[in-house]
Amino acid sequence: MENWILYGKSGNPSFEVTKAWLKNHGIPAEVRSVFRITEQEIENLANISPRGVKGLAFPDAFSFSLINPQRASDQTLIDKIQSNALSDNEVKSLLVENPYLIVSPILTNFETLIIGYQYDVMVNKFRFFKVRDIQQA
Amino acid sequence: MSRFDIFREAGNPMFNENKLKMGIFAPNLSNSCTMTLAESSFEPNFETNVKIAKLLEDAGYECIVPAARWRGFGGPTNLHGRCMETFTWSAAMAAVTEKIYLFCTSHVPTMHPIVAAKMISTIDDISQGRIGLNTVVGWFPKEMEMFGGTKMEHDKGYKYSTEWLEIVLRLWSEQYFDHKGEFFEIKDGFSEPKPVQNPRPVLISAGTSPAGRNYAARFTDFNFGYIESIEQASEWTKTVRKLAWEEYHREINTFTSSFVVCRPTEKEAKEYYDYYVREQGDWEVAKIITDMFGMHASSHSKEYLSMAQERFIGGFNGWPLVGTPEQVAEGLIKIANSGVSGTLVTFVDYLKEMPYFNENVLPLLEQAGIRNPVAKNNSITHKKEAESLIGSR
Repeated sequence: MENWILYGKSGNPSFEVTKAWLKNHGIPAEVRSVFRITEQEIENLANISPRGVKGLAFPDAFSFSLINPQRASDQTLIDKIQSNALSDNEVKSLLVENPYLIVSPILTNFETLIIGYQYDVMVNKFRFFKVRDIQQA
Repeated sequence: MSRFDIFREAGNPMFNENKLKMGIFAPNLSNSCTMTLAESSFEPNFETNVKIAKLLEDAGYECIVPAARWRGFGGPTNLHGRCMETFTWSAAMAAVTEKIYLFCTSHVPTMHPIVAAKMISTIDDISQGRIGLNTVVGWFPKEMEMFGGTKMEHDKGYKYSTEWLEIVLRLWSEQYFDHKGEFFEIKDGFSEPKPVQNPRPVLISAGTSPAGRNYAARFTDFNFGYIESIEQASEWTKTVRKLAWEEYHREINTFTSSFVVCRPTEKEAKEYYDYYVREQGDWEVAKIITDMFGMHASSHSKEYLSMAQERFIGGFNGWPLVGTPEQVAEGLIKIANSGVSGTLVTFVDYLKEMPYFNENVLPLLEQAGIRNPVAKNNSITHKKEAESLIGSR
């Protein structure tokens, strides 16, 4: 049986819709708050992200502000990350200290990474999906 | 951890510590397991079934196995002509019981596996993990003909059951799958809810033919069968276990059925047996059924046929337990010692005969160490709740 984890932040419509999609299609996933993400988890996710650790941060200040309107002053951090002004290690440290900079939702089994609510990707991914193992001796 | 360990850890009564599990068979059918015109208060209705279930729960029985029947066999009793359908029966029983394990019996050719998988999952939710599935191919031709087809040839029936059950298992454990087989084509198969139970509902099947045993060994947790002698019961259990382990690396248990006539004296028990079997027995239907099982006068002696028919009349070929509480207990202890893990018991009149059996035989089984004493609980409350549910209908 596969173990999937959904990282997210309450109030993020894409996270709520992804969570609802999983529940209503009978796909079990452990839901974790992005605010509780560990350094090791960030590293693991960065390893499977096509854009490395930067791919885990919001892609631009505008999308960040839509989800985090109360953190207007931090928009500059997103600009810094995405403008390649920081090394991967610096980005990682920034995300560890400020997990709200991480885009959400992130749905993963640490082999596949699905960022954002991606209907078609999920429909194609969750086929022949083992919910439980009932073939034990 | 093996499948049986998971069931045990989950508290499934079918895997408890009792060396001899006990249940009853076919309380949803007219005449239940007896082919007799003898008087009985037994009725295959919900009210009677709830009362029986409460007797069973209070006495610590493990299960109830209903039988699936779509028409009577004929004879003056029209045996099993009235039958409560088993999925709806178990859903209702699940709502008014709380400990006993229930089964649905499904004639696989009469129901699509998607419907069956979802119904079982639904009942599993209602019962909070107390529903199992008994799959049968169907052996009564007139019954299967009612569904617009014919009874399937024996081995083809098991091929059909195999594919049917494989689909059910996938529906219980997978989402969005395709299946293309000899009998079914499923596109984008999906089912919710999944069963509550871990790892899945208990699966049982009867069948002693090579194909039947192979099916049981491959998929089920209990192979049900009638026993001819204690030695044969022991041999059957060993053979099925060996088959399951060697072919599929699986564990399996066996379970049988017995009919009970228990009275304070042996004379009373034998007199009642003579009354309901020899005097009031429906020998016509017994012949119809033994004919269907291939027991013909041309191939068996008159004495053998008569004995076989008596067993069918007494309790649908169950193992006879006729005598005093001590004699009946001795018979049950022998079954337990044969390696068979349990027996369903049947009576002519459950509500009249079971209390005596429960009060006088079960303590002897506890003394013998093959069953644990029942922990008394607030069963009276549950009984009242059940009565009020029935009363409000």
